[in-house]
Amino acid sequence: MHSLLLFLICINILLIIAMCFGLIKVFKEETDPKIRAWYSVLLSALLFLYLGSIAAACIRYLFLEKYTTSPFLFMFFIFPFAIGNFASYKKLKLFTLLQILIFAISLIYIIYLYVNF
Amino acid sequence: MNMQQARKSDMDYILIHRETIQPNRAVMLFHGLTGSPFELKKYAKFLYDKGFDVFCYCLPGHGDHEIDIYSVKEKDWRDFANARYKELRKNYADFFAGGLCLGAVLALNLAQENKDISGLICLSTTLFLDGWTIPWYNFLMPIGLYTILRYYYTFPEREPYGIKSIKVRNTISKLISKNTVAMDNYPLSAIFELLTLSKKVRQNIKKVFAPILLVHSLEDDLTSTKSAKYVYKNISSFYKEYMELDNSYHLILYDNEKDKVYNKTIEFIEALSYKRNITLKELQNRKKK
Repeated sequence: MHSLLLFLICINILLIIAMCFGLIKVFKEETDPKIRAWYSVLLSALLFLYLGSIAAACIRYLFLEKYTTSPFLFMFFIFPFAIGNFASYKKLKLFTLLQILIFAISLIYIIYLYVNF
Repeated sequence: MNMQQARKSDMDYILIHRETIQPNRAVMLFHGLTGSPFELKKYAKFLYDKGFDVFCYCLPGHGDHEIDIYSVKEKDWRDFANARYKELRKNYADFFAGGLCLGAVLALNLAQENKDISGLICLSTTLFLDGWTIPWYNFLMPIGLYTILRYYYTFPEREPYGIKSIKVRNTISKLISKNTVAMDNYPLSAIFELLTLSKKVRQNIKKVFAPILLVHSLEDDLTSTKSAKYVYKNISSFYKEYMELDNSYHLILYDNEKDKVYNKTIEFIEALSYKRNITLKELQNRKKK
């Protein structure tokens, strides 16, 4: 479980950095569409790993009979899809910042779980 | 024949015969995703020469529309197509709808909502994105589609540009680099809307009663023949034709077998008129008896 949480922490940090870097540098109109495309693939891959690890941690905690931790973690699984559902192109920056904030909160929570395991 | 070319927006391509020779039949064609009416121009001219009034409108999210490609919703496409259809339908005895890629899906949707369409011409119908140029990391697509990433993700246009013919491909490549006929990338948000529309069309596929011509290439790089076969198998139309091409990619109206597509379209419409006449005669005979 320790290694899974550690992996989640790393992925979470990478995701936050990648999202911020994308917002500031990569996703600008003057950037080559090919670079933007590959960067989006990288973000999708990181998000894929993040969601997979969150789901795995949820299941693990269920087996460990920690029934309050699992729903909390599951919320972080749902959030990216919920934000995606409500997001619009006009308010993209706002929703992106909200997504980064959620990642930051999940990072704090996972660090808390790691320390107290 | 004299031609009157009316332009509603800069990119619309409309060919109407003079009022004195007003034909009884018309075709409304829709272009593909991130394309423009330019890709239908030759086909439209061909149909015009065969006696049709032809209407190729630039879809919302494309060209000089107020809504841009990142903000466009599939409802905008549906509403636009319906409004144009209602505006034109009353002027013609026979009214056909058709299109390429997204245009074909939109035509199917139009037929689901309007039962008085005379016929459908669906070219490279895109109900599933499963062609051979879809990248290996396609499994990440749902994550891109359903999260905020869909507004960031863009597929750059790249070789073969949906065209097998090297000569045509080079020309298209030059035009795309100038950004005059089509966009040089596909935003994932637009693909999301196309897939949402496709899903809606699949859910209501039984509601298509109009006669239909489906043309699809076996080597389509964006969407396999699964889409066309799905439509052919599930629609409720009494008259349906399906033609497969074996020497083209996705943009069949510009590729090696474009003449086959052109001729098949006319053949389909003529066969349809013939069938309709026979049915009418049969009905009249029955009434006499």
